[in-house]
Amino acid sequence: MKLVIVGEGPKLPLVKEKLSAAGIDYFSAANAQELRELVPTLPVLVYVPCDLPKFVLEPDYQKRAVSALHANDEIVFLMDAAKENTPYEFSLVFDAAIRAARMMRPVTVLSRTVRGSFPGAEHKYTQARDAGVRFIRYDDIEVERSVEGVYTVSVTEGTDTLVIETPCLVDCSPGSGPELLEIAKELRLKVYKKRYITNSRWFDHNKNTSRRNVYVLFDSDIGEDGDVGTLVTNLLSTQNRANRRVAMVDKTKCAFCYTCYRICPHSAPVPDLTARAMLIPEELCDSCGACVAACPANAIAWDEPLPNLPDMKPVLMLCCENSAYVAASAALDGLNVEISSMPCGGVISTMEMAKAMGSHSGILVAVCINGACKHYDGNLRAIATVGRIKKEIAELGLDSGRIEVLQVSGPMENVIRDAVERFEGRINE
Amino acid sequence: MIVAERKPIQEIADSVRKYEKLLIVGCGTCVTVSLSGGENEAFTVANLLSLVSDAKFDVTYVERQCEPEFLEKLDEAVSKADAVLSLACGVGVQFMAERYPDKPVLPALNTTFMGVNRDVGYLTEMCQGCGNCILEKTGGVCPVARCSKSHFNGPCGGSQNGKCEISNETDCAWQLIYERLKRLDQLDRLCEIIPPRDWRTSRDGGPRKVDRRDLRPEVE
Repeated sequence: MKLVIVGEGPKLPLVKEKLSAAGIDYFSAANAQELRELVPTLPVLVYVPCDLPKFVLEPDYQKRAVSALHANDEIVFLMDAAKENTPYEFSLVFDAAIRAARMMRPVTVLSRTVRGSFPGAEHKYTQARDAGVRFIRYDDIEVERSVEGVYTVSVTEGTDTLVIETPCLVDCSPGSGPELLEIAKELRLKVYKKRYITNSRWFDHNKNTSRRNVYVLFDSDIGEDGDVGTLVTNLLSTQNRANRRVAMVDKTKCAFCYTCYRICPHSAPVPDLTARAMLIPEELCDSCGACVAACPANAIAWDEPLPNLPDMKPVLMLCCENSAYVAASAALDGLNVEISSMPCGGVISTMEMAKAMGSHSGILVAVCINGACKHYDGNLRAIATVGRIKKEIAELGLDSGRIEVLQVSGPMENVIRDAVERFEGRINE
Repeated sequence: MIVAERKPIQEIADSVRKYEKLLIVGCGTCVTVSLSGGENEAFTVANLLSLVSDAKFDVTYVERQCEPEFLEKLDEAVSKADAVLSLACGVGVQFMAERYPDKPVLPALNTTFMGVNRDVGYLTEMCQGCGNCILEKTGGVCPVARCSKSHFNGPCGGSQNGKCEISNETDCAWQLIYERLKRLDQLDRLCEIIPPRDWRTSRDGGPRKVDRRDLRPEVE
């Protein structure tokens, strides 16, 4: 087993030692420059060190910083502000808050939710409260910084607002440093809010990134003993999926326009400068079909052709196989609707939809709810494409209500049944 | 690259209404890259037109409609059609019309400008083809194409906060020129007055041509 491990951080030497002990061969790269020179087809493990500020991570630094404050100055730890903090980060912040409170300072921890999911959470809350830390939950937050460096923090929960003034605001979601962001750029990872290299999508394994074969390793994954061998073995053993379609570029038709390169949610296409065409490596393609729909030269196809759109029943329902297909096949046994599955909403193109409009009286496109697309923005692409078709057919003087989009998740059978009935009623009018 | 936008589908439908057999031709270079006239769009137009018409639509594409060798491939298909709907820029449409004098060749695109791809489907104008480039004096930002008034010696009073008075989304070209020259440490270039120019190199001199005799010596 071979992989590339990239990044730098305090726990990395230990991890590397343990990887060797587990019999895993690795090449290491400290930065984007070194990464560029390594074998591009190997799986990559990106080490994302804890990005909490020094105030939290380094007790000595904290001690000096706290001593520099006035005795009445409040120390405010701001959690969950730009992103949701992980339980691991919470446990570190708790320790820091307890240390500060034991130096007889007023300490407040602001967070959006109460955490109970890390080992010893309950005990930490008790310890912290005993030390005098106060916890405040909030829904909304506004921070203003005066010229003198005093922060005015207004936190709102429901209709109540509390204003705290503090010279010491510890923002616990600062984001990754420039070196890591450059690595992410080199790997073409999607970076949340331009500073977080994580994949917080709840339905996906949190080690996965937007790229196939690229995984993240957080400090929280590394226990006291530093052993990540099992984790890595498990990750790499699940990487191959059998019998899937793969997007293939017809090099003779490719206009080398980089559209697929720009839209691919998994950053799979790579420019093949010798052939002057794009190349989609099989091991990087995640089979969503966004590029097949978007290619302006019609140069990208699946390695096996998509089944022809059936034209037997009046209403065609195109369902994303990750959500709507599950619900629709359970809900619509008795209804007069043709159900067809697609790998992702992003696969529908104006071209195909315009064709299907000719053979069906109505088309219902069912995709995932917001934020739940396995391929990042396939559902939004579907909505945009349907919007465009609606506009075009309305211009032609046809009924734009004949095509609609519906956002559902797997268990929403009833929603699908209702929507189909309403849609059919509308079509039959 | 030449950037174009597809005409509204109703306009296209009106223009092709009287033809029974229509050949729809995509163009595989600039307008494919600017996402308006590639094979994908050609099929989209054909499929949309089929919704309101019983005519027969054939779809094809060529690498570039502005080259005679590529057009040759279309001769047979064009001879069978009543008319041609071209998804090329104005250049391609005219070159097709020239090649097929007996067939109506209709445009499906509005040719918009010469520009760059800033993002998928987001293109902006960069060059106007004025025939006499002065980018070396203006830090690589063209005042002819990117200043709404094509000013040569600094911004007008409509430049506010780096934006042009025509719209908040349009950068003031002279602001960009200033920033760029400042960064290059060449602000002294702004002291040089660019004199009124001879616009005959641009459209004002009539249709232009490039004639490189060195590339085609005459054989006696």
